[in-house]
Amino acid sequence: MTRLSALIRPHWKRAVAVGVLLLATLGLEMTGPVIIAKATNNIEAMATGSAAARAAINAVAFLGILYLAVSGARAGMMYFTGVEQERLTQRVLWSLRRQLYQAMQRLSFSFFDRSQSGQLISRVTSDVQRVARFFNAAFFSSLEAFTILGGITVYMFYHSALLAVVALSTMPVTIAIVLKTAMKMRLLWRDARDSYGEVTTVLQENIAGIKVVRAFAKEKMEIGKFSGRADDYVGKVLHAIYSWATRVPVATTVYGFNAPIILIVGGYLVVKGPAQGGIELGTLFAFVLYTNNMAWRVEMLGHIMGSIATASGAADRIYEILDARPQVDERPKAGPLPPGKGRVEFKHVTFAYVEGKPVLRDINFSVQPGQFVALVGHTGAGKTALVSLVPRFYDVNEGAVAIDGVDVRDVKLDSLRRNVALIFQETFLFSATVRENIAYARPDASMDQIREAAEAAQAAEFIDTLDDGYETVIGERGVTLSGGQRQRLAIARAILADPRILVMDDATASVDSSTERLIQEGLFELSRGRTTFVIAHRIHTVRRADLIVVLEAGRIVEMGVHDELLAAGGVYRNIYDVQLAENREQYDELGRRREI
Amino acid sequence: MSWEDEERFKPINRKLLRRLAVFILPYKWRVVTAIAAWQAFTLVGLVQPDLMRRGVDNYITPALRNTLARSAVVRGLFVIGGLMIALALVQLVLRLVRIWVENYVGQGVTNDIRMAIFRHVQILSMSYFDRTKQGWIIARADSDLDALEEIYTWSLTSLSGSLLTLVGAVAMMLYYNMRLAAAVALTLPPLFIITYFFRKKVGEAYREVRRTASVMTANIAENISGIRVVQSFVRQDKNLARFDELLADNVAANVYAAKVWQSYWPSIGFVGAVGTTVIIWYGAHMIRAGSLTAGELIAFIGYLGMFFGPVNMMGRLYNTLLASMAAAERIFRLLDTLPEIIDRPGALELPRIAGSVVFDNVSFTYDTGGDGQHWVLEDVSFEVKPGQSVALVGPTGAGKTTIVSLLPRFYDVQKGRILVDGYDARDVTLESLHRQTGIVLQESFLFSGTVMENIKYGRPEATDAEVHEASKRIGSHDILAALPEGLNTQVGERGGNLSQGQRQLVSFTRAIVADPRILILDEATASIDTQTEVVLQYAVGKLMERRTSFIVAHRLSTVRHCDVVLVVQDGRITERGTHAQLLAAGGAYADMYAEFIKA
Repeated sequence: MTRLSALIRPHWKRAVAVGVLLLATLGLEMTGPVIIAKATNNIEAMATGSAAARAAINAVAFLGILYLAVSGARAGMMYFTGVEQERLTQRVLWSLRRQLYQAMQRLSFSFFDRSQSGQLISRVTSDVQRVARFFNAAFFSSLEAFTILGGITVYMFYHSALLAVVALSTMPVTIAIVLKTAMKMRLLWRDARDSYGEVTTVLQENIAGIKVVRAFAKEKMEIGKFSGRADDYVGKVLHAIYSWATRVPVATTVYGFNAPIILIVGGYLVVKGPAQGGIELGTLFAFVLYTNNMAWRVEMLGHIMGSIATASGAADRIYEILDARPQVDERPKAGPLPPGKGRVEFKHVTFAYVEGKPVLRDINFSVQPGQFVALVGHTGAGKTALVSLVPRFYDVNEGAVAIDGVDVRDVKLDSLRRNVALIFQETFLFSATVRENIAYARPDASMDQIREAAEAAQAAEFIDTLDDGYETVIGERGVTLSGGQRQRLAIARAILADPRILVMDDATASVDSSTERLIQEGLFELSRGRTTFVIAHRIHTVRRADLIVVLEAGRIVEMGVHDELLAAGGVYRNIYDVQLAENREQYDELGRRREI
Repeated sequence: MSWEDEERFKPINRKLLRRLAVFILPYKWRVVTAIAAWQAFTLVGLVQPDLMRRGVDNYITPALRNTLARSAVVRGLFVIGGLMIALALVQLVLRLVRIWVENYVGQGVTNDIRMAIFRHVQILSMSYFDRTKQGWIIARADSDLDALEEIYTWSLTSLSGSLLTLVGAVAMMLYYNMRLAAAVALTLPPLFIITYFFRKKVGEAYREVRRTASVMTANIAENISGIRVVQSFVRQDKNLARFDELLADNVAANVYAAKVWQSYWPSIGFVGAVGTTVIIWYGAHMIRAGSLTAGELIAFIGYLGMFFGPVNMMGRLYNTLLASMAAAERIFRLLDTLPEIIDRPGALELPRIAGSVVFDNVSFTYDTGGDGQHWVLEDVSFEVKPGQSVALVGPTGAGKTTIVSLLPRFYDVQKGRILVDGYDARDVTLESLHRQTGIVLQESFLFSGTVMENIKYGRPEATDAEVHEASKRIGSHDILAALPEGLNTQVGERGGNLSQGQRQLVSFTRAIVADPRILILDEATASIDTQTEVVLQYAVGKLMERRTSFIVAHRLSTVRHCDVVLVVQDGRITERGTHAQLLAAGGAYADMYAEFIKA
């Protein structure tokens, strides 16, 4: 709770201003019934005729104008209060969202490995909203509810303690029911929401897997499954609604009993007359009007309780991000990466994604500037982990990674990463134009430079066939590109970034051979003159390498060039045989055909 | 999916309303009950201010004028107070009846529509899913239904109640005093006008709020899923600046919406204050003239208060109706989409087949609206004997996947015909055809549930023992049993925590348990690491035993053992024969093969 308030402390001045506005508005609201009461008091006198009636009429006329003026003023104040309150809420949201966004961009990969993107998104969208709502509830709704309830209570006791006690007698029960229901409803609605999630899941899976459903002719089974979940959901929703319905309307009705009670007791007091400790007719009327004003403030208490309960969970989730220290943090004395040619050293590196389960052990080798390094090994051998350490996406647990003689931990992150480019197996492009995507690392690049990069990546040709050329919007809301085209754009992006060191995954699955050939050419162009690490899947790539590093269970088991390693007959030979057995057979066959 | 591109408001359309009404018919008596309960509730509510009046006029005023004994006054007030409490209890019961019944109806009708949508999705043709985004379809059963749920739940009851309240309140006022009533009723038109005007403005303002919010969310989503690219290309500052702009837009939209919304209630309140002033002022004169009593004046203020609820409710109803028109239109658009492929009248049940397949001069295009110029397949003919394996190879976009999609009749051919065991695929029921065809796709789709449930998907009645046995037979058992909880491991959409290879093995096992006569493998072994590939190759071999099978593959290594290789280029079969024959022929296949090996 204290931390929650810390999130909004920077806005306290505005908050105080809104509070003052709100109090003024409420003050005007409360004068309304008093004016009407005074007017009502004159009514009896008016019917009597004579001079007293004249005065009474003047009084009523004056009170009427006053009431109108107060109402007008109140309407204006309500407007300002409401708008200022919203402005404040929005400022809080803005700064919270900004902080979260900034924090997320700084966080290390290990954080994103653990988190689901949908959940992260909802922190920035709905969780901050919950906090803002809490903020409103805790400050302004409470201020409003307590001011009104308190003010009216004081008014009532001032005029008649007896009538005040009876008028307020139904209140405690009502408040108790409302608060209790608000808490209970949260659980019931959550149940219903969860159940609804299952309904949506069935539908979503049904559509996403429609071919499977059709191919197995399981439409009827799917309808049965969906119907079951849907019925379950409807049951839960109705349960929630019925639970609410049997409590809140009962509470409202109980509260409503105060009208007849006021009429009976108040009527008696009016008849007694103010002289004998009773009240005036107008006061009775004010009591009636005030109890109406109180009614929905009581319901407000329920909302306040609800928003407080949801806010603490939301605040926890927000702080989880704001507090998460990027595991990869810049050292205070970190400087830019000094110029160099791209020599990379791994010095007895041990690394674990999860504490105690090292995926790399004692990795020790160095790469000369401009060398082409192929990493070979089974799935899970540690190839991806090894290359992720070069741009310092993760920190080593032991040992060190150095570029041109400098430990990567002593280099400013942005400087380091500007010098290392990556081509991922799954190409990620942004919803933006082709040009913006290629120029992603260097938004200031000229059109000529962009075109040059596209040509080097073998992408220029297909870009020219797009309707808007380089200005074609791609991604979710734009043109859909094929896997091969996306990969070539990613290569162009890396070429334009002009890194000292290049890291890539040569998997080019599900594209046909001629596209693959284009991609390979692009990659080759890119790797020229740079130190290059490749997670190799293909014989073609491995053969070219200046250095082949064979990994097994996180250790380097062999190192060398293709012919050496093949001759050595070790793990590499083994992988080569399994992976390339068929390829070799094909070679032989092809060879035979050519011979024929 | 993002509602940016979808209209939220449409003019109210009678035809749509009529169609929406059809769904209520099964619930008509319940709706009548809810309306009756609410009408009764309203009538009772109308009596309350009158009771106040009686209290004041019959007892308090006389008492003040000393024309009535105190004991009589107290007794009278008790009677009236007791009556008010009794009526409040009656109202409570009526209110509960209404809430129960109308929510039952609302949820019931919505669920009926939800089921109608789901059922309809089950019969829509594959081409529909090709051109429609998944999110669009889901939104019909999700946000659009929400809009309708509101309408079905409270629109009819509330509308009837509101009208009765307004009419009743005005009638009671008229009954007390014509002239004052007429004066007070003058506040109604401005109330309606203000409400209408603001509802419209508010709707537009919140549309902008939602638009800016969805742009903002899209930006966050992209930034998170692309975080690796963002960080490796050091774009944090630029991205934050962009995000800041989007936030500013959203804040501005919200503040504007607040300005509009925050002027609504004050305006309404002010009109109410004017009404109250009129009552007090004008009423005071009447009381003096003796044509109005104090109690009537108090009742007048009570009835004036009854104006606001209904006016606001009608404004809300109007907005909800507008929102639901667009929603209803989209839902009906989905429900009205005719499946292109349905069972022909009198379609036969395909008996258990041996598995011969004939493509007889088949031409096909996805672009059914066009003039047929762009054939995806043109004049494709081939024959497959029961139990044979057929490989389809060729460049991307040549039509391989199209050929295998025609076989289970996911699409209908435009020319020629496809025969399965001599039956034209269009003459047999889809269900009997599908039951005998199995497909394994490149992206193996698994449903939420356990591995075991997924494997049994095609044949839910299969026993666990059968599953284990089948899994052993195709060689997937070692790997699947080694999962954290073996075959009881939970998997999510697209296989959640299973690797791609493991998922593929599950879908292979699923296929073998279903035991189809014709099997289609659409690039099923692409993008898998070499270790799993060995297991998968073995599984594929096992799968193809004793059934007709079609394999679409880029990796030519998988096709060498097939009985027939068909080379597809630009929608035509250009070469056919065994691997060895084609290689020897030295045509396109031999070239592709050479290229493949070099890569």
